[in-house]
Amino acid sequence: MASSQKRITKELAEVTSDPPVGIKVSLVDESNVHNWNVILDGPPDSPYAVCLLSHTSSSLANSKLIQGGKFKLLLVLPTEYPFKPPVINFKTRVYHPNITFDDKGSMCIGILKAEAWKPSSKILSVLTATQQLLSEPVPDDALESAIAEKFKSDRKDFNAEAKKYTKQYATGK
Amino acid sequence: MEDERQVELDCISAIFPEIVLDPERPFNAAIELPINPRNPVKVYFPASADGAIQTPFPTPPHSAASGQEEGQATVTITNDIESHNLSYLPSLRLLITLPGGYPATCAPKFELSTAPPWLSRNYLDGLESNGNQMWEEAGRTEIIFGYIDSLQQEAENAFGYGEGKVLEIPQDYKIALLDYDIKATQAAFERETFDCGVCLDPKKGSVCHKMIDCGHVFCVQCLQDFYNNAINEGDLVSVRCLAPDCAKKRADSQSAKHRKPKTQLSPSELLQIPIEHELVTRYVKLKHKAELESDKNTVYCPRKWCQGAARSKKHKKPKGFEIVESDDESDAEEKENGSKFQAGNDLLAVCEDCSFAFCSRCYQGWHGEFTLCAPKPNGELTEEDKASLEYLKLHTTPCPTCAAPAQKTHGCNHMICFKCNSHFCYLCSAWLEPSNPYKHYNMETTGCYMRLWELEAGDGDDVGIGFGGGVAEQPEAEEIEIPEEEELNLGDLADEVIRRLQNAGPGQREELEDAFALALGGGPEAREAFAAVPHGEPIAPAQQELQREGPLVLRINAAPPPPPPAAPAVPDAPQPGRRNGHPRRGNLNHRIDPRLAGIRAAAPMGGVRRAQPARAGRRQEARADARVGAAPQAHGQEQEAAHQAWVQRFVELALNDQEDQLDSDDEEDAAAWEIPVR
Repeated sequence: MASSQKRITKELAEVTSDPPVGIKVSLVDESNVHNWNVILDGPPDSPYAVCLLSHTSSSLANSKLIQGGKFKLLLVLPTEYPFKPPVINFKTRVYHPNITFDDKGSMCIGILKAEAWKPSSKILSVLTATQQLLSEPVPDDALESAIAEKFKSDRKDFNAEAKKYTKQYATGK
Repeated sequence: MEDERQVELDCISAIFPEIVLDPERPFNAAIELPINPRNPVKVYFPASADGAIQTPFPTPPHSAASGQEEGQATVTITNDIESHNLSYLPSLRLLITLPGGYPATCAPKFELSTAPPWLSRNYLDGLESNGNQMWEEAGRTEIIFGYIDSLQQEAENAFGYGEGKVLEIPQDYKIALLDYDIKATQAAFERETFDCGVCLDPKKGSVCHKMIDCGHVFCVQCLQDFYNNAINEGDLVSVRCLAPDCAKKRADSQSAKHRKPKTQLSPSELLQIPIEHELVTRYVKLKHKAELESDKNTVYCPRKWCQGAARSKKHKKPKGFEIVESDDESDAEEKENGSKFQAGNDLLAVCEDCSFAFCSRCYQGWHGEFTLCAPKPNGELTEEDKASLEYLKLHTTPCPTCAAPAQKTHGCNHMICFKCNSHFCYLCSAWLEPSNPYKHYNMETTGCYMRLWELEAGDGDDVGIGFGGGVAEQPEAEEIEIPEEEELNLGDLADEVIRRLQNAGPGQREELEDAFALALGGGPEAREAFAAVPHGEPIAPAQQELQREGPLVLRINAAPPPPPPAAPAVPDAPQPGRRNGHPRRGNLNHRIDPRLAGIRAAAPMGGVRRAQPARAGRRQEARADARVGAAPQAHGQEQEAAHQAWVQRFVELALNDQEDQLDSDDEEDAAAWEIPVR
């Protein structure tokens, strides 16, 4: 599928030349444009960002000291792309109501559903939708009900847990 | 010294390269001034050329329809006048003649015309004399550029017609004007460049297609690739605009008015793209087929080589490329008519393909209204059909709304029906609320708690690990029937067990229970189950034991588990349907006894009865289970008796089970309550 590669190459060029804030993209294997490594920064206003000087500097904590957790994702573009939607999974464990808390890191976002996917939807919109999901969990549409429950009933505890796991896993390694 | 006229014309040709100088007559020139006003011009076409009213009725609708197909002009009809909004009007032709004394002494001669004459002669004369006036006012100097410029400015608002002035054009010129508008619009479109959203390449308008409904533009190549593929795969829903959210937004805005928003492309638009005739024909046929299949009242021709659908007023067989949209109103009407009994009327069906007239109840040649339907002959299924049905049973889950079987290829268990867009669970076929489908997997009370990602790799030998299908039975539409003989066999034996238990005295009863329990291969547990067999009159067994619901997945490919004691399994029978109103006794089968799957597989299948009429309620489904369970087996007599006893218990439970979850419509159907006694 030459046309699919051409389009993917274009989108890759677009995303790498003008990367959106907090999203880094690279190919898993330079010879294959279908598999992308994505590194997503946890949005600064979410528990998926970690404060570097967490214990000492509650008053000093400004934006420079807060750094997003580095979440690795794998984006796989089928050969039928863009006629078929891409598949995206979190490789880094995330404590989040809408992302499975296991080694698969599956999630359900509307744009990726086969019946909602349109060939002119772009990878960039998939990535920003994922980023958006980190900022704004949708507990009513949860995959992890226990986490959703916590998110709804005890936000403080949820944030603490999410932070803990972000520190533990989302190191970008 | 060079002629001043020559200098001026040279200048003008440099400014307007499209000007044509007459080679034979010097100082004669012609120029076409295109008219593309800022705002579209509303043009009225009175019904007849001379203004006399020929007919008191509105203009026939065909003219309106043709306007819409062209998609360029919007049409409204008020009384006997139809109006179109035109973006382009035929150009204004200007002939310039510069006489000898020009510019100092003689006025230039301007001649204006349009073809067809949509501007009146009087008006054009006025414009011409404006030119001379300008020449005078400017002090008798070169005026050609100024005049052309003023005409162009006038054309910007279509000589005043762009701003509310009514332009009335005789019918005679209507076609020419509309044609011009379409061609000019098309030409302008082809000159433009668009970024195709699919291949992301910039493309000339001439190789692009603009969606008629929403105006999104894609290149023809991408549209062809996508729609060809979608139609070939039968993925009709995808034949819509390819822009993200486009169809959805329109669906949202329309949903108030229409229940089913039309987001799919029309066949005529597909042909325009162009998509090949052959594929468009397939598209029309598939759409018709999908409509028939989603209508449970459809009956199919009993001739094996035909299998066409019976003629129906609601879903007309498409001719050519037109799609006859069924409207919901006629649906309601039919229901009203249906309540009145019309002898024979509802039985006679005529195949739309081979014109065979047959009875829609017994599927034999039409026997007239007053003849009883003859018993149905048992059709033989080919090996291939059997294998297909078997596969459907094992690796698909029917939609709870339309019963269309769905097979999961990958992903989570939240499914959306390809046919009717219902949300449902792949594991248990439960209907899921579209607003929050995952709730089903997050509630401990459902059998599918925390099982959203089970079978993520898909269902089927060819797509992933095997899965016993969410529901054991065939969907209602293709219920499998076991020949009568076996049905009686089951009924007799199972009845016998119940009858003996009920008729037995206290002492005898215990003895009998022991005997049956022994036959089942169970111990005291088995006996307990029999204790539930009502004394005397059949009553509901202990309901609280039935509260658990949700099937367990039966992995056919895995090594068969040792058969569990049959009897205790019965009270464990889950109660699906409590939450969704669609009881699925099939789940019980899976849960209760893996052996049954084997039996079912071994069961010879009788004729396939299509399109169960609505009256075939749950009772029939339950009976079907019974028949299925009654299939002959290779085991010994004892085991057979055990199975039959179990099946009878199961039927009874299934029926009682419905008792407390009965929907209002079922209450009218007394038959659904009866325990079948044969």
